Amino acid sequence: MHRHAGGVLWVLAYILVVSSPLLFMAVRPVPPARPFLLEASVALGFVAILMMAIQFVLIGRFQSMSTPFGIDVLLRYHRHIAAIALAFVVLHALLLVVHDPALVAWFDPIGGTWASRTGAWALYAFILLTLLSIFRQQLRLGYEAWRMSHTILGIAALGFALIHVHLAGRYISTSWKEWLIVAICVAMVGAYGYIRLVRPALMRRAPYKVVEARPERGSVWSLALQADGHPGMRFLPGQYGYLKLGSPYSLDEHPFSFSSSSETRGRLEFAIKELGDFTNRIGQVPPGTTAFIDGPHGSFSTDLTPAPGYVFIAGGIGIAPFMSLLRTLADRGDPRPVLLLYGEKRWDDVAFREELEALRERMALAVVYVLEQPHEGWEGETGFVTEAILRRHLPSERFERHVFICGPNPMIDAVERALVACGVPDRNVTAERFDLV
Amino acid sequence: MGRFLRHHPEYLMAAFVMVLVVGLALARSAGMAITLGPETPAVVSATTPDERPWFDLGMEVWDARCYSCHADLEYIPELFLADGGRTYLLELMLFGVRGEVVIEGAPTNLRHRSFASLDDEQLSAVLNLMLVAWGNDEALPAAVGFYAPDEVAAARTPERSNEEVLQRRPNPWR
Repeated sequence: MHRHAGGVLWVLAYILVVSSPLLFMAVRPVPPARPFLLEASVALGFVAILMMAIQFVLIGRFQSMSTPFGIDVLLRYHRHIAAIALAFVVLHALLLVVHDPALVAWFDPIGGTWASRTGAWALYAFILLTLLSIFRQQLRLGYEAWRMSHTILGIAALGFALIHVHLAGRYISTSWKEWLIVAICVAMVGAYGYIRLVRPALMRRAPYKVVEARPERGSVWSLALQADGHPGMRFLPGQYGYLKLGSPYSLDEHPFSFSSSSETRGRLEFAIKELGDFTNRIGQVPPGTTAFIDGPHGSFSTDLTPAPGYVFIAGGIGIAPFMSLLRTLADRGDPRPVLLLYGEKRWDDVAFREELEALRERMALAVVYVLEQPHEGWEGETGFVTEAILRRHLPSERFERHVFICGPNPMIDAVERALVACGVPDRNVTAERFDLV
Repeated sequence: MGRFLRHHPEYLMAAFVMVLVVGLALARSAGMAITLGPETPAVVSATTPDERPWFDLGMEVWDARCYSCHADLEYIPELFLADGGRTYLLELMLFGVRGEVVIEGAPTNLRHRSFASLDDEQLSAVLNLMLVAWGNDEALPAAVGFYAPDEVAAARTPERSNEEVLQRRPNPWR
C-alpha cells in the first residue's frame, strides 16, 4: 500500500510540473486574447517542453521513483510519454498552419525568423531522436552510439525549444515566467547529469572485482563479483543492478538481476544469458576485471511485498531474480511455502535445476517445470504456462499468496491474463519485464 | 478500463493535461486571465480626487491597454526628467517608436506601438498615472508638470514617424 501511495504522489507531482507552464498563460500580465487555435497551439507547446524535460528524470534511476514503479515500468512511461509529447509538439505546429496556412513557411529550418527556426530545429531533433530509437536495430546502431545520440539530440531538442520560447515568447515577457521554465528544465537535465557524472564518481569508490564466470545450463553464466576494499552493497533479494565493466563512466552498462543470496555480503552474483553483443562475451570476462554496479534497483522483492506464501513464475532467464529470492529465503530459514513454475525450452537448458533440487531440501519449495520442447518420456507439464497449468498447480489458498512473474514480455502478458482468469486479484501480482531497451 | 488506466497512468495524465490545454485555450481566446495581487499599480502618496481627477480614467486605461505587457514602469521618472523626456513620452504614446538603442551598454531593440486611437483625456490620464504610480511621485519633484488633454491634442500634429520619435528620445541609461 505504502509503495502505491508513493506512486500516486509521483503521478500527481508529474501532472503539476507538466501543467505548470499553463500558469504563464493564465496569470497576468498576458498578451491580448488571440483565436482559440493559436492559444491551444501555444499551450500544447508549453506542456510538451515540460514533458520533454521530465523525460531526463524518468530514466535517472532514482530509487524513490523506481521503488513504487520499477525501472522497467518507468522506461515504458519514458517511451509512451515521448510519443505523447511528440504528438503534442506536432499538434502545436499543425494548429498554427490550420490557423494560418501561410505559416507553413515556418517549417523551413533555414527560413522564417529565428523564433520559428529554433522551433523547427527542436521539432526535427525530436523526430530524429524518435526515429533512431524506433529503428535502432534496423539501422545497426550500437547501444552506446545510440545512447550518445539520444542524449545529445534530447538536450538539443530541449535547448532549441527553450530558445524558441524565449524568442517567440509573448507569454514569457515577465521575468519570473522565463526564469521558472528555465529553472525547471535545468533541474531536470541536471538530474540526468547527476546520474551520468556524480553517481559514477561515487561508484568509483566502491569497485568490484570479477571472481569467476561460471557456466550454467542453457548458455547462462553466473558472474561472481567480490567487493574490493569496501563491505559491498546491501540489496533486497529480487533486485537488480546495472553492471559496468572497466569504467564507472561507461555508457555500456546493462541491467542484470542479482542471483545470489542477499544474506552474503561482499560477494554477489548475476545470472546472465547469452542474448546479445555484451552478454555473449560474459563467459570470456577474465577474473580480476574491475566492475562497477549502479544499484540496487527494483521493487521485485518478497521483502517489499509481505505475504504468507509466494508463487514464482519464471520464463527462461527470468529465473535469475528467483534464484536470489530462493537462495535468500533458504539462507534465512524462512518457513513460508513457495511454488515455482519454471518454463524453459528443453530439459537440458533448465539453468540451476540441480541447485533447485538442493534448495527443496532446505525450504518449503515445490517446483513445476513446464517444457516447450519436452524430450521423450517427459511426464511433467509441457507447452507454456497456461490457465490450465495454473489451475492444476496453484495452491487452494492461492488468494493469500503473492505471485511474482519474470520472463519475456509475451509470457508475462499471457500469464497475467491467465491469473486473472483463475481469479487471482491484480494486487496480488507483481511482474518484472527485463526487455528494457 | 480501470485496469488499463492503473497500468498506464501516462495516458490518464495526457488526457488530463489535454483537458487543461483546451480549457485554458478557450479561456484565453475569450480574453480571460487570473490576476495575482493588485492589478492596478500601487500609488504611494495620499491623493484626493480633486487633486487628480484623471486618476480613475488612468487606471481604466492602464488595466485595459498597458498591463498585459508592462508589469511596472518604475523607470519613468528618469526618462521624464531627462532633457526632452516629457515630450518624448507623449510622442511615444501618440506615434509609437521603433529601432535600436543602447541601454546600459547593451544594444536593445526598442519597440512600442502607437496609441493614437485613445482620446486626449485617456492619453493624458494614463501618462499622469505613470508619473505617480510605483512610488514614481516620490522620485519626481513636487511641482511635476502633469499632462493636460489640450497638450495631447496639440502634439498630434505634425505626425511623426517611428524613426523621428526615436531620434528625439533622450537616453538617461546609455
